[in-house]
Amino acid sequence: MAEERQVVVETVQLSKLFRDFWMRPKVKALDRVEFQVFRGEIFGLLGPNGSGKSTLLKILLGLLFPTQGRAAVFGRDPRNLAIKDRIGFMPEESYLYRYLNAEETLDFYGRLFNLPSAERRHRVELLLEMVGLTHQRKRPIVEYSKGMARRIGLAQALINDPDLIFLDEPTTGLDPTGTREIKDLILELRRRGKTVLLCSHLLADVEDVCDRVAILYGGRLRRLGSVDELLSLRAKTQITTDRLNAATIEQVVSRIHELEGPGMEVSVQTPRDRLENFFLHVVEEARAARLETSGVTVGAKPSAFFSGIEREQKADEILQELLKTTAEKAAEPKVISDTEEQPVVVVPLAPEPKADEQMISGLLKESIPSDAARTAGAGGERAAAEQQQVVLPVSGGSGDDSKTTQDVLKDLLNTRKPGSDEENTEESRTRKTEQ
Amino acid sequence: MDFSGAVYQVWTIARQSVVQAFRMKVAVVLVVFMLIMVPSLPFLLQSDNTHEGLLRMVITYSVMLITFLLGVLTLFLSAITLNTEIKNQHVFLLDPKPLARGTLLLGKWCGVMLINLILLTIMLGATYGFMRYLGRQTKGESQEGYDLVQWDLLTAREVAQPPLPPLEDWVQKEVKDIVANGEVPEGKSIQWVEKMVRQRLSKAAWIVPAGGVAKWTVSGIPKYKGALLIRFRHYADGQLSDPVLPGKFTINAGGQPYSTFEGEFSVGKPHSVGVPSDVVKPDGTVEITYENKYAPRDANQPPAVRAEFPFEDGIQVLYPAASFGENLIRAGAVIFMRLAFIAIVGLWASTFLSFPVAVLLSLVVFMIGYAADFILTGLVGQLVLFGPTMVPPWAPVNPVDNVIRTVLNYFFLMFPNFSQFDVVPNLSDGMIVSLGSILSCFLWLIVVRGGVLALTGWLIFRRRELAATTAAT
Repeated sequence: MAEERQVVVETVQLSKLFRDFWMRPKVKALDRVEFQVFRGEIFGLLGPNGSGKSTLLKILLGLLFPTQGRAAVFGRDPRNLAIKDRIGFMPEESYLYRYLNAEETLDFYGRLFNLPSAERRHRVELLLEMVGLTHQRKRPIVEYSKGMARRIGLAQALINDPDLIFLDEPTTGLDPTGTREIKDLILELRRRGKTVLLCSHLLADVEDVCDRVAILYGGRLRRLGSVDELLSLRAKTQITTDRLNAATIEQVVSRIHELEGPGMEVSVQTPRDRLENFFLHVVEEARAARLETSGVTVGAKPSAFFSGIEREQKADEILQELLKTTAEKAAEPKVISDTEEQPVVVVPLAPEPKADEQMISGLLKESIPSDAARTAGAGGERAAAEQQQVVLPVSGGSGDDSKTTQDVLKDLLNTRKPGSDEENTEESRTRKTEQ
Repeated sequence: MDFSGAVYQVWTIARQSVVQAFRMKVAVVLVVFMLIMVPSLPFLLQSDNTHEGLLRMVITYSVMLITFLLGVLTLFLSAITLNTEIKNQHVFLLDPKPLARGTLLLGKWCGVMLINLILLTIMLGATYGFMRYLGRQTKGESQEGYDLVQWDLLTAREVAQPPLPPLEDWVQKEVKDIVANGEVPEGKSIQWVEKMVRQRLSKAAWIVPAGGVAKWTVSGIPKYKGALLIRFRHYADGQLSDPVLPGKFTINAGGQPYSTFEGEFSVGKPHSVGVPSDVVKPDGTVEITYENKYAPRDANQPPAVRAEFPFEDGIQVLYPAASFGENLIRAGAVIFMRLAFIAIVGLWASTFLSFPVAVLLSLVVFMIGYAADFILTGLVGQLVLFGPTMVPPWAPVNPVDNVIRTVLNYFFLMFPNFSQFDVVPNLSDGMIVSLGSILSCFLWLIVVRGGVLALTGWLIFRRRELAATTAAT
């Protein structure tokens, strides 16, 4: 599969040695690093401070040159001007001109791409709206908070509608709302065929959005793979249902012990919502009450100029269109991993949404359910008190998506016998059914 | 990247630099300083109590001030503009854009020059206005003073001189005689003899004995209405108790109309006398006749004193070739090119040095440029490290010293000599800044020296790892 995909970024035996003034070796920042980033994926670079990820990023941006090995972006040397038209870069720090305001900043970078004046103005408008800085457009950047500066940094990275976007710590300094918006935007960029390479210390962010990650330590590549491959707890099975009464739980547990043996470890607990979701809920309430703020407004609406979108469409219309499309997609179960390990089945429930859910759904309407379900956050949440999780070491999968949870559980408890084919889960497919 | 795209990027970077300079108040402070300084000059400077002297002072010091201040500003701006981009890591956002490093450098240079153009225009404009204002003030006091200021200062005159004698023929003849007579000093070559003879004859002069008459014909003067200025300077070969020499000048003697003036003219100083331009003949020539009217007044004076008019500037006819305003623009062009070169030096230094070191290096080049004449003639030309020190100038130079002098001469060729492109004497003398000197400035300062620096700076910068200083930390 990977071999058929277009390679956007590639490093081959990439090494970087920093020398001192007398050309004596000082630091070996990268040591024979090899990886590929494919078109349309979100690739995460992880590593502690000094692991070499910034150096790697700078080599890929042409700001540093390799000592040995090769780095290629779109198949060419990173210093090649021809590829730079297709690249966007959001740095970790704000390297923007402090005396320019947001509008001038975006206009300046747009000019460097030789964008025609009308097109540039149009993009500036959309990007300012997207990052929620329309009302702060005339303020000099020096007066911006760190979060606002990061937002404008992101906007400048997207001014040229790049095919490949480098994001260095994209959510650092942002409030949870901003973090969510950025993550949603990253996912949206991928949906439109963009490739994203991001460096982050915030592992939760990487886990939420990345398809594949590379972990660097001491300049060497330690792990490389998909997030699912790397993070799956293959020795565990988790079932999430609506709230069950104590008798049912007891029955389920005893049935599991009956089928899987008395030594099977089963824990039943009420899942917690994520603090991020809770916070966003509170903020949305405040917004609904029309409290004033001097900070950013709601942003993260993807700008209409991104490729793959009809330019005449208004952002809202595009957004509705996007939501319609993704909602249709979400109605079907989605295979997200082809691993030949033991399956994990998350069985969805389909209750009527409660008032809180509607609010959260409204707030997160720009999120993409398929991804949100994976992140257990964006749009697919249940009120925590209404859910219970059953976590057991081994379970089988069910392919009938039209059934309710109770049906599935019933099937699970009644039909699966020890030693059946499905128990030998070598060939089972991991499934995640989404709402 | 297509050419128009690159030009647009250069403009974008340049525009950005201008915005930076003005928003950071650097340029504004300088303009305010100049606008205060120029009108204050008449009160700060001591002139010879004449309006002409005052105006000469004002134009001299204001142009010197403008040239120096803008030079220093350019030096700092050019050294800081690229270094700031690197130090503040703005280049981390610029370099990943489709912006060639050469384009960035060119844009930065254009930005600095755009700032210079704006400031120079404002400052020279203010100087022009102030000079005009002071010039008008003289009219209220005396028409003669006003005319003198207008003819001698607030104008741009071209110089016409009588044809020089065939100096080179004289040199060759004299050298031939020395060789034929076996008078070549021991250990010296014929080239050395030739050089010495040429040096001596360059200081030669037209000599008019007491009671004698000399006649010069100056050609190439256009027909125009107004005053023609006859400028002369002479020396006396005898010991005069009073250093003045009586004489009489007649312009267009024997023709109609003609002009004459007579008097006792101090020796060694330049004199300017205005005559109507009607004396110019239809063929564009003017005949100047001088009669040495020296006669001893008493027994203490020498019986006969010769008047010596140096070939260099003994006799000159000055005619208006352009207005004062136009001359100021020409002077501005030369100043602008000097600034352009300084900007190249500053940017060149910042392609591989940090700000303080780049400024220091640029400052060294700047100071050498200002002191090039002194360095070459006063220091390098007199350098004695190995030979005896107290020897006459014609004594042979120690061979090692000779080699060192030659090497240093070639070394300092790399540096500009700003005195060659100094417009202050022209402006304070009311002399036109010729197109030839502007072209020469462009060729030697910008194309040759600037070109070499720009090329090496570009080669260094395009190979520079812009994140190298921070990546390893």
